Order: sequence, then structure tokens, then C-alpha cells
Amino acid sequence: MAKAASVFCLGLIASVTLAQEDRGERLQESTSSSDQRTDFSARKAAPSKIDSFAFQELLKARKKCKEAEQKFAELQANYDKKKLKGIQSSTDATRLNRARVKWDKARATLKAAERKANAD
Amino acid sequence: MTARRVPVIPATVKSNMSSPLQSTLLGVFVVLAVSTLAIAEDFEANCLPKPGEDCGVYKPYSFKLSVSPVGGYNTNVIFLGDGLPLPEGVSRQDAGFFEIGGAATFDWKAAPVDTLVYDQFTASYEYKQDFYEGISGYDLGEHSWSAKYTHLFDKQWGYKIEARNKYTTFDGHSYSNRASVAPTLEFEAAQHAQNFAKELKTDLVFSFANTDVFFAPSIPARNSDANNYAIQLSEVFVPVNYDAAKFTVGYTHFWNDAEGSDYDYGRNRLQFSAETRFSKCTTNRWYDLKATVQYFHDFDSYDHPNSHAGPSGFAFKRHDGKNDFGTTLSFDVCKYRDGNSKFAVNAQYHYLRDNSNVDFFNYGQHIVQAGCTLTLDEMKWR
Repeated sequence: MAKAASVFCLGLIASVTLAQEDRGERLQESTSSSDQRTDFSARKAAPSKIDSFAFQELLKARKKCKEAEQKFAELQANYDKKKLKGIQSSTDATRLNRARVKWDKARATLKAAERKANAD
Repeated sequence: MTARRVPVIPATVKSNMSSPLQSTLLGVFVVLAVSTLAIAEDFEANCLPKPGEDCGVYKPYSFKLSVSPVGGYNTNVIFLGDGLPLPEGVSRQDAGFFEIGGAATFDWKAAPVDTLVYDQFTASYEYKQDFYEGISGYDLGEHSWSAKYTHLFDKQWGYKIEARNKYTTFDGHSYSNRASVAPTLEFEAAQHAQNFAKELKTDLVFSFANTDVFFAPSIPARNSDANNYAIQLSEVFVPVNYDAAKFTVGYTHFWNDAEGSDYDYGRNRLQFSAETRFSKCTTNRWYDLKATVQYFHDFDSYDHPNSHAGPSGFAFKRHDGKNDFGTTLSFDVCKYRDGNSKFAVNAQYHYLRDNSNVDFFNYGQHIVQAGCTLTLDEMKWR
């Protein structure tokens, strides 16, 4: 009777161990498979990368924008000075207007570049 | 490395979800409902946005938070080999699931010098937890910490060093910890290929990882504690006339040196991925729709006869050919002014097929899922 009981217990332990070992190896497969699925929260939280072309285009666009802004500010100051003296010409106004358009375009380009650099 | 025994988790506990497909359908419904918020006219817009008031201020620090609830369906949660009976205590192999993911990222970039930023540091924490309905003992949880430093030497050459630690649980019980470090050397060749490439980058990555599994193996051969070494070569290509698309091809060789003989192997991996947006104009709503596909094939050769091979085990060596295919679709419903996503809806399909000469590892798996991602990106400062 005692022998039968111990055989039964051994069988039970073996069965539980088998189930557990089975599961251990399946979990091993599960962890490696999980790595391959896209994690959207990680993707959306990722920052722009300095080695990406989009980020480098953003820096170029920012530089051009600053240059256009500076050029416009110079022409504006020059135009205001001439206006005070009453010697401004239509050429000055055209030049100022062109600089303004160029600056507007540079700012719009910068905004587009910023959006591209920050998109995941 | 010491393996620790974890208590046997009862397989009879079931969740409250009523139908296997309920969570998937709920996710799809959310995607469809929210997508209607995108007004049709938004899809026809000028390419240049309205200009900002000035040229902006460079902000070197940022902190982002994201959270993603997902519903899905998995055809083979327990990775059951084809034609094999269900393991004891498990009543099914397929299940619907709910997943919650979250990420927090801190980023620092050095001040630009002319048109180049030379240094960047990023630290992040990610969390993911799956809840399967009707199957207990397989609810995967992952905590990942990573730190990455990038340095550019010039417009062509740079390097990255990334350290990562991933701690895994099942049903809340510790399962494994994996620590890895991966230095990368990169070369950007776009300036030599301006006719066709906006980005043409070659990455050479060496990686070392150590995995410590806390689950006690039944026999020493199945101890999967391991050191893993890898070398990877990949090429990234962005076409010059459509910079909203990106293609990547790569080759990786892995060596896995495990404590148990079942897990000593060499792996050759060929991989391909492509992603695209459906417009290259950032003002166009199609730009906010992004699709990705990725595929890899693994050729695995194991070093020793496998404990599952043959009727009494150890009859022959294991050889696997693994196909892994994934595709995603995401749409940014709301965005910040600088282009960062505020609220997005996502869908994903993933297929895995392991063709193994050992029945236990010869399985297939399909996963479909849908959900959304909320991102908080208010914290930027100089």
C-alpha cells in the first residue's frame, strides 16, 4: 500500500515537472517572439535622431531661415532710415518685399522640415 | 548564474472577457471610429505649411510620454508544435488579449555647429503587459531600460553605443533578465549618391547580451542562461524623389553560448523592412498615414542533439528555419505643431513560422491587433 502511494506521488511530481518544463521552453519562445512585434508607444516616444537626413535638413532649413531673417532685418532698417530722410525709392521697397517673401518661404520650409524630423 | 524555482501557476484561472474575439473587435471599432475625425478636405492641401512667426528656438532637451492600449487575437499563445496535444492544464492554444504599453523618453542634443549636431543622448523606459483571456501562465510583462549615446565625427561617419536591460515576467512572476550592449559604426554615403538617395547609410553593429533565466530547467540541457554575441551589417536607403519612404536590408550572425546544451546555436538572419507615408507633404493628411512591413528569415543550426529530438530525446541536432513577417498601419489623428504625434490609431499583423526538425519547436503563429497611442510631448526646454 505504502509502495503504491509512493509510486503515485512520484508520478504526480513527474507530471507537474513535465508540465513546468514544457511551459518554461514555451515562455522562452514567447519572449523572443515579443521582441519582433512593433511597440507603438516606444515608436511614438522616440526623439528625432541627429544622424537622420530629416534632422539634418531641419538644421539646414533653420540656418537658411536665420539668414533670410537677418537679411530682411537689415533691409528693413535701411529702408526705415531712408524713409526718415525721405529718400526711399521704389527699388528699395521692391527689394524689401522680396526679402520678406523669401523669409516667409524660409519659415514655411523650416516648419515642414521640423514636422518631418519629428515624425516617427 | 543561479536558476531559481518559481511556483507553478494554476492554469485554471480565467479572465472575465466573454468572447475570444471581443478585444480584437473592440480595437478595430476604436480605430474606425476615431479615423472619421480626419476630415476629407485635410487630404488635399498645399505642400508648404503656414510659416511660423520666427525661425524658432533650438531646444536641446525633451521628455516624452506615450501610452498604448491594444486589443488583439493570437492563434498560438503557447507556441504549440503542429499536431501536438495541448499541454496539461491548458485548455486552448489561441486567445484574445489586451495589451497595455507605455514609454518615457528623455533626450538631449548638443547645440548645432553650422548644420550638424555632433552629440545626442537618449534614455528611455518602456513597459508592456499582455493579458490573455482563458489561458493563464502566459501573460507576458516586460520592463526595458535603455541608454543610447550618438556621436557624429562629420557628415559621413559616426558611432552609437546602446545599453539595454530587459526584465521579463509571466503572470507577474520573474522570468528572465537580459542585459545587452551594442556599439555601432555608421557611414552615410548619400553625398556620393545624390542622384538617387537622400539617405544611404551603412551600419555595422557588434552586440553582446547576457540572459539570466530565473525559471528552473527540468534537466541541465534545457538551461537557457546564455551569452549571446552578434554582428550585424545593414543598409538604409531613402529615395531622393520620395523621402517619405525608407528601405532597410540587413544580415546578422548570432552565436548563442548557453549553459544548457539545447541552446548552443549559430544563427544567420536575413532581414528586410520598408516603411512609407502616403504623401511627402507634411500638410497633407495622407502624410499622417504610415505603413511598415518587415520580414526576416533565420537559419538556425544547433550544436548538440536536442533533448526533445526523438522518442527518448537527444536523438539528433535541431535545425530551424524561421520566417517572421510583420506589417503595421498607423494614423496620426492629432499632432503637435512641430509634427510630433499627439494621438494615433494603430493596427498590426504578425506572422511567425518556425520550421523545425524537432516537433516541439515546429509551430506557426498569427497575431492581429489594433489600438491607439497617446503621446505627451509638452516638456521641451533649453
